[in-house]
Amino acid sequence: MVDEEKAGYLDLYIEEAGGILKVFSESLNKLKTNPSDTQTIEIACRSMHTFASNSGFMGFGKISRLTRNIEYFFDYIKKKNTPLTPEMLTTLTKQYEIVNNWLTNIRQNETEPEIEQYIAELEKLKK
Amino acid sequence: MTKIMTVDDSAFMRMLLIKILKNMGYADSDIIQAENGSEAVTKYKTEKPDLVFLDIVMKEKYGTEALKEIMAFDPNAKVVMCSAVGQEAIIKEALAIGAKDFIEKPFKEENVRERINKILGAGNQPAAAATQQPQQPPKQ
Repeated sequence: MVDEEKAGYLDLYIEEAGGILKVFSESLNKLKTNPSDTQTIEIACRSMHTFASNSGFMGFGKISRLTRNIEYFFDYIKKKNTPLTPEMLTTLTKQYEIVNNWLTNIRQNETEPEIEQYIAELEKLKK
Repeated sequence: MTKIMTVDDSAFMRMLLIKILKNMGYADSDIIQAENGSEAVTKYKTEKPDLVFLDIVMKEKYGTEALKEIMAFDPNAKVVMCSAVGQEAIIKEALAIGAKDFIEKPFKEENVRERINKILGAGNQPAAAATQQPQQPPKQ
């Protein structure tokens, strides 16, 4: 549960988070046809950066940590200057769906998913 | 009148900072908002705020790029960079460009107050801000 003070921010958080995830999803779809599109990679990275910061403030620590790690994964791709592989895009799409499902149901259930396995998946993709 | 500009592409983050500023006694008319680096540069030139809280990662123009343009326009500009975890290198770069300080997101009222006191001095703040005691940080 978010505390009383932060509950007042929940509506704006949900509204903005939904918009951010839409941008992220559109970016993933674009990257499926053009996996080395640096502009789209930048947009995806930035969207996760904002999502992680906002979620951190709201006290959604696990979701913040997962999305921060997705941001770091895109940072890694930018630094390596390498196209995203189909395996990477499948993993990222799955993780998007986990975050999106959590956000969709947040008003009924704020319980965050366990995320360590997903972070491990991202780390594995870097090897 | 002291004017403060908050620059962030997240409306959520702008709202958090505005709420803190209002708690400190600033009025709506004292607060300027920009949602990206380009808008920040444009509004800086027209509004000439006394202090800018400038996010780093933004669409259209990154905070450091906007900072360079603001500093070129006004070498005495007072800018505080708003950072997230893991942005130490960018902070270092921003301080070298001319940022006065940085503050970590998410914002806490006592940290915002401390930066404003340090950079503008208590005398340049609204009366309510100068006399108000710092609030406790929100429970994590």
